[in-house]
Amino acid sequence: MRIVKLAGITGVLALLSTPLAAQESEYSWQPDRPINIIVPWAAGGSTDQVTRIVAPILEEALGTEVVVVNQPGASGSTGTRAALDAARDGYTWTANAIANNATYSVTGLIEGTSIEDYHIYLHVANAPVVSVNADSEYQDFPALLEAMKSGSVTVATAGVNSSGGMALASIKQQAGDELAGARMITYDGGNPAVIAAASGEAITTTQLAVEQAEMIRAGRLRGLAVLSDAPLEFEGVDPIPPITDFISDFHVAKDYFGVFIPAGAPQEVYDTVDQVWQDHVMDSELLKEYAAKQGAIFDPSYGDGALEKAMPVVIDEACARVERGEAVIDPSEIGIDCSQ
Amino acid sequence: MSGLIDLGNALWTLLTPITLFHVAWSMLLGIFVGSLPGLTATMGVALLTTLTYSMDRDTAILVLLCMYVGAIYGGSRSAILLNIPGTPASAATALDGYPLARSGRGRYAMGLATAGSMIGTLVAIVMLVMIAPPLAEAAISFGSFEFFWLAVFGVVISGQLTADNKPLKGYIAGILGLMVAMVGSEGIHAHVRFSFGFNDLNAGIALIPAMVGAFGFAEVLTAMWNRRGVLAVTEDKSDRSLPRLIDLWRYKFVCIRSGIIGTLVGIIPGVGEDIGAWASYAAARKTSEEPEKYGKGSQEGLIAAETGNSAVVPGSLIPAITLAVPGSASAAVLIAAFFIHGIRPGPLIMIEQPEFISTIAAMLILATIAMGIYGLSLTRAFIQVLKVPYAYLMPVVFVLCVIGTYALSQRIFDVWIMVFFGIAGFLLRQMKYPMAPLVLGIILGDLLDKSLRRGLTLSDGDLTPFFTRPVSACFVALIVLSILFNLPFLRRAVLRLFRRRGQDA
Amino acid sequence: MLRMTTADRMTAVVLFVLGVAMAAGGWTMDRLEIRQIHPASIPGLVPIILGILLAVCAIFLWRSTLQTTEAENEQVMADGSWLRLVLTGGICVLYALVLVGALPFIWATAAFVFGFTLIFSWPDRKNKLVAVAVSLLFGIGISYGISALFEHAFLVRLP
Repeated sequence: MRIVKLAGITGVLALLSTPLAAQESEYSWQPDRPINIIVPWAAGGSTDQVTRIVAPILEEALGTEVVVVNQPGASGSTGTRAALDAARDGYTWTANAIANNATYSVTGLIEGTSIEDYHIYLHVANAPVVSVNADSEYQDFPALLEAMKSGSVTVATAGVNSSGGMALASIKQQAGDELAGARMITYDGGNPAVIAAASGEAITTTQLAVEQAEMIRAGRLRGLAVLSDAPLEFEGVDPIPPITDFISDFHVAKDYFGVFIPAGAPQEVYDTVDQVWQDHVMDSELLKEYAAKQGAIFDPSYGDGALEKAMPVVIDEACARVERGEAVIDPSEIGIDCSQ
Repeated sequence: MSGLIDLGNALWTLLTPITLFHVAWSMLLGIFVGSLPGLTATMGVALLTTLTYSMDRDTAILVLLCMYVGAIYGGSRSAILLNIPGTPASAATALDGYPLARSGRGRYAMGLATAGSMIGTLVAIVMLVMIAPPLAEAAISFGSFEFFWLAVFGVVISGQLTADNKPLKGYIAGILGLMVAMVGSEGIHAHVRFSFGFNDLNAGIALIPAMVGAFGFAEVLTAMWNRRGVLAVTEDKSDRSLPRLIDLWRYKFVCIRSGIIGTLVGIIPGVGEDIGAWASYAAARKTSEEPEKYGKGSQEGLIAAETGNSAVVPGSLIPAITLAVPGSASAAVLIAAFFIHGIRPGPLIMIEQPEFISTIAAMLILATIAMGIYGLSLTRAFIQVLKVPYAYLMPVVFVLCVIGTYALSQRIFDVWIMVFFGIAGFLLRQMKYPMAPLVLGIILGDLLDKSLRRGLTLSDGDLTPFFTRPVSACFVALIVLSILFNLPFLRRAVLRLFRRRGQDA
Repeated sequence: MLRMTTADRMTAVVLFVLGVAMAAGGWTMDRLEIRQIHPASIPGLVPIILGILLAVCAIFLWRSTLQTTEAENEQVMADGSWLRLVLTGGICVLYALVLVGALPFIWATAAFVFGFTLIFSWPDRKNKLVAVAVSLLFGIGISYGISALFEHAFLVRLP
């Protein structure tokens, strides 16, 4: 009697599990527990915002929970280190601007790491915007630049290695001036930095457009220039002029963002996520909508295509560090050639 | 008013069978932890945090809050039945609870304690919902200068109020905590400090291993070191554990006042339940019609102490949520747990997660209801629980300390940290150094360091904004006054001044 | 017989040395000139301040011992059992620092719980055979339970 019952239950279970298994086997890797994406910046920053839009897309496609974990600190190196130190089993990912991850070893924040440590999946590109507090005296970019050269201007960023810090450095370099009057103030992330500028604690910020969009729309910040060669347009705001209007030969590489899976996990992890990226991200309406609203550029890629897109900004970033004397290793050690 | 509607909504969304199941087990566990002398609320919350890594955000916070509320309440059991406070929070409870139990009214005393705890928690929840949003609003205008002083204020005031007799030892504990926070990569330039070549120290000393050591292992050591109290329950003649409504009505003012005092004590950084209980107890005694009964089985005293310590729990969450400054040692662990589960407490919480405060309040209400149900139904069972011998309990606690810290980031190094803090914590406690300022220092060190250097960069090395901005100036005045009043010669001078005036009159 | 004043003086010396060491560590810490940081934001700033404060507190602590009267001078670590403390500390440290890592977690834990329980229930049990049996069962049961809980419910890879 009992055996019959048992057999019955087993049968029902088998029946129940068949369609489920069939559905899941679409992908070769079936995660059996939550995946953590470590965002090494504070909540509300550029990386955090876009990662929280991508996570549910991945969650649905992979059929497991995808948890976004914020671990800010030390220009994003604290969380990145945690992701690199975690078991390489495909369950711990990180999200960031690729130029950061590829150059942490150049700035000495994390030793011996390079872009080779990850399989990269890119979704959007972001441009930094130079904005000032709405009550400040600076009405246009030349006036601010003048004050940075000779006056005293506090610049809120999320640290030397953040997008804002890099933007300030590249202005320094390409304006051909030390900008001795500009003092960089480091905050825990893009969002705190933008709030500091909006509240008047700092005068200006060079963080990304996506981080400033709300505050610019609300009239708390005034966008003076976008570090790009085309004006930046997004909902509810007048177009922000490109920096090339003021410094004509200003060169900017697209700053790509994405999620990165540390290398060394089983191959089916990468195959599966490649497929998921192709099926669910490359044409995602949600991401397109986000980009239009927040002033980002929707431009997804994965695999070799992603590497190709990422390299210009990585090379720019690494070599700029060398020129400013901030590099602790020669980028050629991680395969970046600055001689060209 | 909208706060109450939000609260109602939050409560409604929480009312699912699975939530109630989580409340049921975690509350029971909390009361169990609290009622066993040697296991404290902070230890319970720290150990339970290590078990919540894989839970979703809301469930994790719910069970941790239930553990916290339950443990503070559970401490009253052993205080009443054994004259040994289950947690330091119940020291004042023992004064009147034990005499009541000895006169054969133990169950009734426990019923009163339950009622007091429930009322205290409820009063404090109302204050949490009312105070936290405007406080967060006000704190948004805090800049680096203000946050620096807030961190200093927290460490100083906690050092001062939690030290036994010498505030100096409190300050030293606070500075030691701040020093611990200096280890590892700092938040402005990402420079690694004091790692002594250990790669594992690069990211700093994680709070949870340190807390599990200082409150788990150290308490295992303390429990084994102390001689154990004897269960001294006499025959219980009282037939009821449900307090008569008339009794509660008589003490309505005591209850409400103790609830408010407890909440306010909770808001003060790093000053916890024990002080909330003592402050309410002292206030009740001062205004009582029958002060001579205090210490000999006064129902009023019992209810004041229990209401006071329970009200500290929601009170301590007010600064924890809105400023990321813990109101008590357990709240410090809760902050660490918030971070683990992706919540960033601080002034921005009202913008980023406006529903968070109502959710917390709703969770606390569920905990209170569970407390009432268990408190009135399980009075007899607790007496059995208290008989578990240490020989069986303590090894289990220590195994949980080890595996819990390991589970956080799966590295053995964290276990070493736990052992180190356990031994150091035990020694410091034996020499009368309070633990709360140490914990506060560890959690506030980063904020203090970054705010100071950020402020100095903003002002281009100028110190004046630290003293001239209005909110900063207030903090400075508060800090200076509280330190000065504790310098022995100054206190003597002030006392002398008052005495002379008294003689003149 | 350790008196509080003696203990305080010993700690004062330790704290003073610690404070000075930290201040010195902060002073000699990299000022990061190469990165052109603001000189007021050097990483060593707060360690210097904390080190000095701790050293000052240590001096005050020493001074306060001079003013303590004999009546206030309580004993430190007098009202407990040294034997139990040393046993507990020894077993726990042995388990946490040596056994875990050397043995699979489940065996290390079983051995620890068995040892701890046996030692501390030994004096209270009349029948020593029962003591051993109960401790053994308890150790294996707890070890199995906790290992299973963490491994299967919390998905932790045990050491």
